[in-house]
Amino acid sequence: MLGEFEYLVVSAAARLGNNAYGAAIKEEIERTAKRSCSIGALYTTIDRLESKGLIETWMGEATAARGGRAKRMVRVTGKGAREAAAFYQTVTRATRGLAWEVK
Amino acid sequence: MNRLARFTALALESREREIVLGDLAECAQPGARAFFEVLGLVMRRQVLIWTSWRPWFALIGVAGISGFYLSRMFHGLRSGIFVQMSTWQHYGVHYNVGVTSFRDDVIQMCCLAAAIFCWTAVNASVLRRFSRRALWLTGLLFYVVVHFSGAAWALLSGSVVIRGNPPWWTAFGPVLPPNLLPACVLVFLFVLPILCGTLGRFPAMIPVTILCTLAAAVLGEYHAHDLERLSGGAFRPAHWSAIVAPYALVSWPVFLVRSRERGAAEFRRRSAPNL
Repeated sequence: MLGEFEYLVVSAAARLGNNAYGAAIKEEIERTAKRSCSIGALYTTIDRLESKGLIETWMGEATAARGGRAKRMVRVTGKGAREAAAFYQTVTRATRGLAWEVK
Repeated sequence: MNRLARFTALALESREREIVLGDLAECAQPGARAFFEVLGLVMRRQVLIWTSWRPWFALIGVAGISGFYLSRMFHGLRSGIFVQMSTWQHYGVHYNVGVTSFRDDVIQMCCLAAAIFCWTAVNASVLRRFSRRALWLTGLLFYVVVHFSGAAWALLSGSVVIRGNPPWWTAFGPVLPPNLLPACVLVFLFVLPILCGTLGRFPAMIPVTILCTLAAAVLGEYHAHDLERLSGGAFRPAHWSAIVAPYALVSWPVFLVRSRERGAAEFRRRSAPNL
C-alpha cells in the first residue's frame, strides 16, 4: 500500500498529466497539500515508486527557464493508478462516520 | 542558485545533477535554500547506498581488514629501508644481524615492494567495485587505515618506541631528510596504486598470475629463515598460521578478482556463437 507522501506524488503526477516532471510535481504538492516538499524527498520517492512499477520516468526536453537542462518526466502506470485508488478507498472507509474536531 | 549548490550537486550522478539543477533554476530558489535542497538529496542518496551490503563489505573487508595488514607490511618495509639507509649513512656498511646477506635483503625488499604495490592496486580496485558512489568515503578510510594503522599498531604494541619528546607527527609521517627515500617509496607503492585502482585504470594492467607468483615469492623470501628453521624440526602450526594469515587477509581481493575474471571468461565462451 502507498504511503502518504507517495500518494501525494502519484496524485500530483496524475493531475499534471503530460506536464508532470520534478519541479511541476513539487509545486503541485506544495499548492494542494499546503506543505513544503523538498527535492530530496521528491526524487527518492519517485525512484521508489518507479522501482515498484507505479510510475514511469524518462528524460524530457531542455528549456531556457531551466538553463538548458533536461527534465525528468513522470507518468502514472495502470498499477500506480490502482494503488492510489486503493489508498483513497482505504482512507475513505477508515474515516467514514468520523467527525474530526479541530481545536 | 549559488555556486555552493552547484558544487554540492557534483556528488550526484551526472544525469540526476542535470535534472535537479534544472528544477532548482526553474523554481528560482534562493541560494541558501537551493544549497540545502541539494544537500538533502545528496545525504538521502548516501544513506540509501549504505542500506546495501556492498559498501559495508568494502569498508570492513578491504578498508578495514586488508588495509590494516597492508599497512603493517608497508610499515615493515619502510622501517627496513630506513634501518638500511641510516646504517649506511652513519657507518657506511650494510645493516646485518648475521643471518642474511645484502643480496637476500635487497631481494626481500624488492619482492615485498612489488607485492605491496600490486596488492594495494587490487584492493583499491575491489574497493571501487563494491563501494560505487560511497567510494569517496571508503577510499578515504582505506587511505587513512593503510597510512596510519601500521605505525599506530607498532607504537601501541611497543615494537617501536619513541625516545625523547619529538613532535607527535614524526611517528606517522616519514618527512625528515633521512626518510626521503622511504617517503618516495610511500608515494609510489601506496598512493599511486590507490589512485589507479579507485579510478579503475589498473586491473587490466596487472596480470593476476604474476601477482600471485610475487606473493608466493614474498611469502618464501620474507620468512625464509622461519621456514628454514621450521623445516629443521621446530615445526609449530600456530606459527605457520601467524605467517600465512596476514597474506591470506591481504590477498583475498586478488582471488576474488581472479574468480570474477574466470566467471566472465566462461560466460563469454558459452555465449559465443558456435561456428
